Amino acid sequence: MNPATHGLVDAEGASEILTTSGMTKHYAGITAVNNLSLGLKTGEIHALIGPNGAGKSTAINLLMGEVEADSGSIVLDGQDISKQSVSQRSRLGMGRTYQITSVIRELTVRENMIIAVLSQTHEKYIGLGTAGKSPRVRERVAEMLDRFDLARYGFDFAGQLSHGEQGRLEIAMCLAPNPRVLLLDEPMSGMSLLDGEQIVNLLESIRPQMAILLVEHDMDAVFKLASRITVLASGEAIASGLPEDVRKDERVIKSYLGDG
Amino acid sequence: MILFIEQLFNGLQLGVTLFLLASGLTLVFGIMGLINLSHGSLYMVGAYVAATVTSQTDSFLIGLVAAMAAAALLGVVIETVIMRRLYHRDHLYQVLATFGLILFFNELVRIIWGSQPLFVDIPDALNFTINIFGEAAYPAYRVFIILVGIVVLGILYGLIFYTRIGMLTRAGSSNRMMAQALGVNIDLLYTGIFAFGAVLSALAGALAGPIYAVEIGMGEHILILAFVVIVIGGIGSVKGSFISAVVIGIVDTLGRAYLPAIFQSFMSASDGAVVGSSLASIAIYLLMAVILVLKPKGLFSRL
Amino acid sequence: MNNSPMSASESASGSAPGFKLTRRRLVLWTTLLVLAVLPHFFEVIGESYLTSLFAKIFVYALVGVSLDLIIGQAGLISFGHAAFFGMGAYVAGVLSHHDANQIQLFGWLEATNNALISWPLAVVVCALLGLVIGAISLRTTGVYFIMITLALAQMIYFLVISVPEYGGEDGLSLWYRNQVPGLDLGSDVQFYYVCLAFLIAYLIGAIRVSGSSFGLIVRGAKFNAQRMTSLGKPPFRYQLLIFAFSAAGAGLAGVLMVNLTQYVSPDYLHWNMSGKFLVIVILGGMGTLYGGFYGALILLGLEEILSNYTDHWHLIIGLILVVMVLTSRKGMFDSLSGNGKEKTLG
Repeated sequence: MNPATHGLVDAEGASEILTTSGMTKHYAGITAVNNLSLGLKTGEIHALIGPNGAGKSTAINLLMGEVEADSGSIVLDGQDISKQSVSQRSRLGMGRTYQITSVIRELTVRENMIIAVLSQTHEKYIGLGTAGKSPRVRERVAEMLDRFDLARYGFDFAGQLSHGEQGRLEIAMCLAPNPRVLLLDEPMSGMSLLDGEQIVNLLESIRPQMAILLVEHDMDAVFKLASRITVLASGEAIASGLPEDVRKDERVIKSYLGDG
Repeated sequence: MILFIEQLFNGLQLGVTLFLLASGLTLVFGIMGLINLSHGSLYMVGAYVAATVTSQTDSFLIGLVAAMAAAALLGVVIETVIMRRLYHRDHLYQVLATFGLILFFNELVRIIWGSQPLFVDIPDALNFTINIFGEAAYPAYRVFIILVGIVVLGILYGLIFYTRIGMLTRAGSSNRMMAQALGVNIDLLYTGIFAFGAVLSALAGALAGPIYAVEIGMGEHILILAFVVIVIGGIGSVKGSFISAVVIGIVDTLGRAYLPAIFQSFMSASDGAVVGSSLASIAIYLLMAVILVLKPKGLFSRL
Repeated sequence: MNNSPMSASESASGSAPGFKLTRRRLVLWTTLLVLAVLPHFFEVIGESYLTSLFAKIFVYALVGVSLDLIIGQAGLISFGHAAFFGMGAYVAGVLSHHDANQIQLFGWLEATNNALISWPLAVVVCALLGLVIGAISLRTTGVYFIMITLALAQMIYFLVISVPEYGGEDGLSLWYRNQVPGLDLGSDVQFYYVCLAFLIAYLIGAIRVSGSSFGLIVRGAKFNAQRMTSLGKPPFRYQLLIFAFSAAGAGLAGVLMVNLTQYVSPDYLHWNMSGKFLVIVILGGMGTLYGGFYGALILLGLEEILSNYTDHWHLIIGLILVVMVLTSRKGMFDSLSGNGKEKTLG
């Protein structure tokens, strides 16, 4: 518990649900992330941009707990989670997607969704009842598949879906447990224009319920969606603020946006 | 003290034998990704060929050479006919096919040599004892085995780090495509590595002949010990194999020599003997379990 | 896709629940019917010894099913299932040995020959052993997992044969089978049905597990452990539970085996046995669960037939194995039911 960051309220009155301060990670001589401080608020999409190797994925791995930070704190809704495991963080309401879409390709779309919904049940023990039979799970699975326009693929293997559909499924799986914080690692990379647009609309629609951290190279999407932008270069935040301010920042233009 | 030094050397000798097996196993796994259960069969074949040729020619040296030549030939045949088709298969299928090979070779040896164990005499030239630290009279033959193991370690190191073949081997293990782009005949390289492993295994078997009985299934027990060695040492690491082979050889030998007596010192003679020898027989597995709990990928990284 | 075992949960809850006579079901029901009348048939043709052979096939099939449960569903290749098989055999056998010789266990505990006590006890011991071996082995994956289960099973082997009281490397002969009120286990025909009943019961349990939420999570972990972890379900606990359930099944088979042969053999713990179990799973078709039965039928049948012609039948079995792996990518039952393709392991 860190009283300094707990319940931090900014000018607009929304409190930060996830706050990091001084998050740092070194790998054998390389500083992947240096002294990074981020604040995510419910209802906001916070974009994290920067050139390749800037430390964006490492930042997500640190937030989710897949990599342990060398120093710094990560506070979720007043609770210091920097020592929690990945699955503990998941159960506290954090979800993430991966740069390489990570659905369970060998299972059907519906089975993927059943697993996601089951993971919402926080019991240590998952029952021996037929998977997806209980009304609660069945309805939730149907609802999620409908909402993400995946119902017609329910019995196809997830690996057979197009890249765009797999991306949608992955986000849907992360959303099934109703997370408070969603971390997206390049959700639009490698997608067709149309698929990318669908993801943009999808993120717009889920934005009010949670805080989203978006790592993305597609600048059109970023400027369309982001409430705030942090620019990383060599592991350090070189600018952070509202999109229009970041766009004008000279260092950002010079080191990143300039060539685009 | 004399006994202790003797046991230490016995452990070293077992460790070296294990290393001869484990080095081939670990190279084949590290480079080709193949888990080869029948590696122990080559050990057995080596022992049988050496025993037979030695008794025919009265020359232990010719027996050794014959065993290694036979293993090289057998290795080339097995690799080109069978193993090559297994490199890209799931480990489960590799286990299955090479398990089949064990059954095949055990039965083949039974057909050729019969079910009775063979006994090999220690070669006359090495049938004397050496005074170690002026105290323990230690059989020269076992010292010879230890020296052979150290020479093999040296050769392996030279090959891997100072020759073109070693460089290609390292390239082949980390990047098959790159090695091919460099104009390496990967198939030939792999056959060579497999046959080399087979030769080392047969050498171990041939050397073990005068110490242990030459019998069917002799390769299997030692193969599982070799697995323990490479798991502890880190799969693919020759250095790791050597260190962990020596450690395991010594732990196993000392455990068997001393644990019963240690337990007898505070238990009844019969209970102490049972508990002590039970613990001795599982000591290396316990060691493996502890190391894996601490380091799930073994002690050393590759090569 | 609908006859894939992975979608068992789908057809149960999906849109078309009605009973369809698929080829798979036809094979299954025919098999059951044949097995139910087999002992009488053997009696009629005067080959009653075949009843015991089939009881033995059921015992191996039980291990096959239990092993396929962790290989096919969880992707955990155990090369040490002989440890559980043998442990089940030794627990039941040793209890019986103490009882027959009127020796108290550990010097104070009365032993028993009552199957209602010794069998469940043996199964529980195996499940606990499964928890211990599983907890160590599951720290590793892939080829390390194969080797560690092999090594730990080998450890159990050496541990057991180092106890001279229980026969060491010679094993223990038993005077009689366990006793159950109301049954005569000494009768080969009755024992046949007992083995068959346990096989079917375990098989139903295994199918149930694989179709359950628990089973789905285990399958998810097989293919994508990272995703399961970031969803908040780290695989370890689920894999450990299914490993212990599998160990219990193999232990039960060991109990039946020691009763069948009336001999507690260290061979039951030997790694050759573990290899044989893997062969059974692959012969029968990985991931099908009931493939374990067909695998055992083929392997033991082959052994029986070949051993009539030559003493060197191991040579032929070994060759068959090699050729099978090199040429075919299907299990036997997969071929029968027309459901193919090698299932790769995560």
